[in-house]
Amino acid sequence: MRYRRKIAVSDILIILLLISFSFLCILPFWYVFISSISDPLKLKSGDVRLIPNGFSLAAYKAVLGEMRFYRGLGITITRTVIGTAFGLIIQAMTAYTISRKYFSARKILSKLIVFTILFNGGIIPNYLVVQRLHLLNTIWALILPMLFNPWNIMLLVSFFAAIPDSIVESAKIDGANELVIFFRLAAPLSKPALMTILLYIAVRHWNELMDGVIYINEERLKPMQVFLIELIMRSSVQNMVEPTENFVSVLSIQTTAIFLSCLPILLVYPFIQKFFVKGIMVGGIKG
Amino acid sequence: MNRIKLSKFIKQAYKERYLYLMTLPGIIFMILFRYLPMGGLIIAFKNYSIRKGIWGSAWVGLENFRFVFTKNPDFFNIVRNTLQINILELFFAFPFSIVLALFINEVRAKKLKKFIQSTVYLPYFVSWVVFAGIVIQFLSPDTGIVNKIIQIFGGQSIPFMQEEKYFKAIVVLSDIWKGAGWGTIMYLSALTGIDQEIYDASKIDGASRWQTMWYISIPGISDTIVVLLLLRIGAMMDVGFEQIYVLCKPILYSVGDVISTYVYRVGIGNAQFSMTAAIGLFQSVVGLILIIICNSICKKLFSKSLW
Amino acid sequence: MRNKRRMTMLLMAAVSASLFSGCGAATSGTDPSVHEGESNTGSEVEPSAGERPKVTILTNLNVDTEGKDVNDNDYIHYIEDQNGIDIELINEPSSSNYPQKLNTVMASNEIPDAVMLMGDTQRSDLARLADEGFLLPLDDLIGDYPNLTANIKQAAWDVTKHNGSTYAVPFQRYDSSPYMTFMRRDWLEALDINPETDLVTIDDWYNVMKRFVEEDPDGNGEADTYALTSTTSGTHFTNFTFLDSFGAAKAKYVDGELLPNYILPEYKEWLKFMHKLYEEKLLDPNFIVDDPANLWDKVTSGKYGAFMWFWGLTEYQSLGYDRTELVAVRPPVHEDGSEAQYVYSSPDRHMMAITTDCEHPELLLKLWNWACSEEGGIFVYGGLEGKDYDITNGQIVVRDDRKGKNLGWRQLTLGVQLPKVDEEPIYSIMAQNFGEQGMDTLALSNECGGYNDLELYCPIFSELQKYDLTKPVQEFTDKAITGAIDIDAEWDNYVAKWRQAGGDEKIKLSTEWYQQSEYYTGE
Repeated sequence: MRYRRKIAVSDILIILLLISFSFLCILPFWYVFISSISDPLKLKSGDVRLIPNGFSLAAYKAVLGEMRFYRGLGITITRTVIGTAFGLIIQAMTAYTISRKYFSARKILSKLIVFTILFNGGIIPNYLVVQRLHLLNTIWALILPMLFNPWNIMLLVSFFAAIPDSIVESAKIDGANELVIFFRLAAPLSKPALMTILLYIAVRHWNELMDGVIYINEERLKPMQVFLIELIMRSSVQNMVEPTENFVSVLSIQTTAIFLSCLPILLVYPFIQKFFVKGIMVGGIKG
Repeated sequence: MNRIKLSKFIKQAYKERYLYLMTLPGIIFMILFRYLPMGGLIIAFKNYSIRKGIWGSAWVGLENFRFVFTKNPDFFNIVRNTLQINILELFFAFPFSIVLALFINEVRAKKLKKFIQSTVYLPYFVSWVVFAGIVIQFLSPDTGIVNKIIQIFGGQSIPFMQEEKYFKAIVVLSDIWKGAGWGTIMYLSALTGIDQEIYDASKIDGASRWQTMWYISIPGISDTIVVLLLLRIGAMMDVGFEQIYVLCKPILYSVGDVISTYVYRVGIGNAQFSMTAAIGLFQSVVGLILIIICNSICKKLFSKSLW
Repeated sequence: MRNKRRMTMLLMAAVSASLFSGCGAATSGTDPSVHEGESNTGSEVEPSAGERPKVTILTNLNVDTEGKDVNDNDYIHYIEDQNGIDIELINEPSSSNYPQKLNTVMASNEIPDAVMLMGDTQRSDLARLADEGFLLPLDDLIGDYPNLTANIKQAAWDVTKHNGSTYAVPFQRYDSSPYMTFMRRDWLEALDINPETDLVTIDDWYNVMKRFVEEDPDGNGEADTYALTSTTSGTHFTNFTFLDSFGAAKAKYVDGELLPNYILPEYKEWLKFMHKLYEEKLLDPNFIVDDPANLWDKVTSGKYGAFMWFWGLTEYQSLGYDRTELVAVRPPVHEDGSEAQYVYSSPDRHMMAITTDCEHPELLLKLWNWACSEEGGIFVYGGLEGKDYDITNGQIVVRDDRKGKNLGWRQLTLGVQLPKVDEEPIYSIMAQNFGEQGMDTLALSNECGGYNDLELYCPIFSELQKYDLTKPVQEFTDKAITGAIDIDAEWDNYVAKWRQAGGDEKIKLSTEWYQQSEYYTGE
């Protein structure tokens, strides 16, 4: 039975601060949206307005009217779904094992993993490895290299470590092996953390650009971000080179690209938030 | 002797076979896509030529390092800028996300809480190229909001983006604006892991909200905080390229040029692969040393650590 | 749960499979000069009867292609048919990512037959790739292709030379120096200023600019106008209107040293002049943070009297304005009364280099030779008959909706172009594309345009590539103009610091070259 407090001054203060910050955060995003539907002929750089400056869907037509956008979208969706599903499982399993304090390889594995956060071979060595594995020009070049993410793993370790040993012990006594414990016990108990990492991986896949540039030559395998960047580049050059009736300023394209890029994630996030429910931990293990 | 150790190891491994199995895919990909390419770092000690390849290029020992540290009169300045910005971020941006998450956690009205949670991360998705345009506009001497407010209070318009003393603050503040909301997600999810009963018990005991935050919430998410803090410290020699590139114009190079923008100009722009690798190695080694030190400190002080 | 376990097993199997398949390849080392015979390019397929030979070209095609694939459209098919070859373009449209793409492609085993390199920023890449043996010297081959040597000027070829050999075919701009200074026609008329007579010397310009600010040229009763605007030196340096007029645009041989323009005392004078414009609010103070994107906002606002940009003014037209509202003007004359120039970075927009992996370089040279023929010129500037133009009474008439359209696309697909546009039939096609005023402005830009000759012909020294030589220049320039530093007090420090940061070595190598070169006049 929850004990309800009266509404204190600090409550109001916090709420005011949060609401102000919220609006401050909506502002840039709103500006992006408004710019994308403004008339490109009237759009001025940095002119932060609340209502559109003329109305035009020219930028959206430029982006959505191209077959390549949808092809890119397909590639991006594919890599995101596959990459997130497998990535999450692999990273979670690895994090779980490291969180087991009795695991003999725990320390050395943690060190090896953190080491990879700090040290990176660079673009050409990474490219050569992908090439030797015959992954160039395949969608796997966009998926496999990102399956192992040391940063996510170290974050998940702290969550898995918080699971009471007593639960794990009693499951073991009941004859469960580590795999079972992971899938049936640890993972469900760590839903908020797993959902957060799922979000991280998905967003990263969705927005990743450079791997599409370096590893893919074929147009039809290029992810959406590559196409969007190309569109932005082209509009800035194009406008310098040729007059056009359908003038779409660079800013229009940029803002439209941003808006289309984050839309899916924005749609997914509310579902993920459902998992952020308080007090998932089973309370009945005390004493 | 070794045979006994080996058989002991095999026995242990068999006992933990499921754990090994579970980490196997992770280890495989780690080796393939992290450790294999890491071999490429040796070009920091070579004069890398694409034609000769990584193995065929000539050794030059520490020459690349020597050049960067001694022949570039600006390098000290660049490192200093990098460190200063990171320290400011550590002291201001890092706690800001935590405090923000704690505050959000305090909101009881469900709909309001959801609204706030759903809006604060939005700027994260705006690319720096566009976001910088907004920041510059806000700070513009003629039309920017900030200067208009200053003028209302009788002050003189300040050209923020041209003066050296404001730059680092602008970097940190704009970073908070853009990224703090996104950073709260991890903390919020950690906060859900704290047992509700502890909160209830403390309320019955009459604890104020601030006491609850300090004695319950923060310790409750301390594991997450420590991990993120240590990883942050490991990146002390690195400031993100894009933000600085769009905000720092030549007039502010002396306070704004950081390692990543320098590498972009010379390392990538002039195809200086070996030099880029050397600088990257330098950044990584410093980060490693810092992490090792701070990891030990955390272990002693809080008995929490990365390994 | 069983499903999850199955999924895991499946995954691990898949991983092991890919690991084993990659194992053999991974152990063969990373030396790219070893060909494994597993190359994926089609160029190793023996052309059977009826199949055309194929060339692969790495390119930076960054213009609109009307939604078509760069490798599958009317223009490329026409080029392929006319020349009897198949062209495969590996396209990286983003100019900022292009260097990364180039380097990774050259590091791989699958090197294309030709690569595009930018004519100003990638000269160092040309030198580097040539030194590493990736590029084919062309001197012995070009003799067979008369159009190339006849129609592309010597200066353009000189840029593609390294260590005495020619390593690329230039894409010579037809607009040799594309930047011009433009002024608002309505302001000139309102204040009764005639550019031919009233804008001759630097002092003339100064007086006109003062009038632009003080005499309310837009007639709205407010003192809200600026004479000149531009952008920060970090992006497009559009401040060059007066640079050559002060003698500060080109490298000079002074006291036995070949000095770059930006450490000459003339450059200091130019900085002081620009600072004066800034102080007196003739120069828009916001230019320091502005990029080209902002330029058009400012121009269309009607508050700025002069600016520098490409002669075509296409954005202005696209924004719905009439280009005749802006007038192109010559730069002020030198102190001694001689004509000055608008100095541009390179006569070549880009260069097409043939790699040593290319089995049939003659295919490419033949292609580019065709590009420099009249037929190729008509294709580039006019397009395709029935699609972009029609032939009426023996004359090429460009369709109204295709005027000026897709030039960039055709130019970049072909890679090389016929740069001579002042002769028929090309001239009338261009006149249709750009209008009479456009052609006048083009002629003027050719007249007023020039290059930093010695800097351009000076070879690229690989030893200099590790120095950060542009940063101190940009920093000092912007700070000097805005007055953040005292020019006289700081000049010597600036030069000394630049010399110390690698400048001395640049001067030494450049001077040595110069004294041996054909350009040396002994001062």
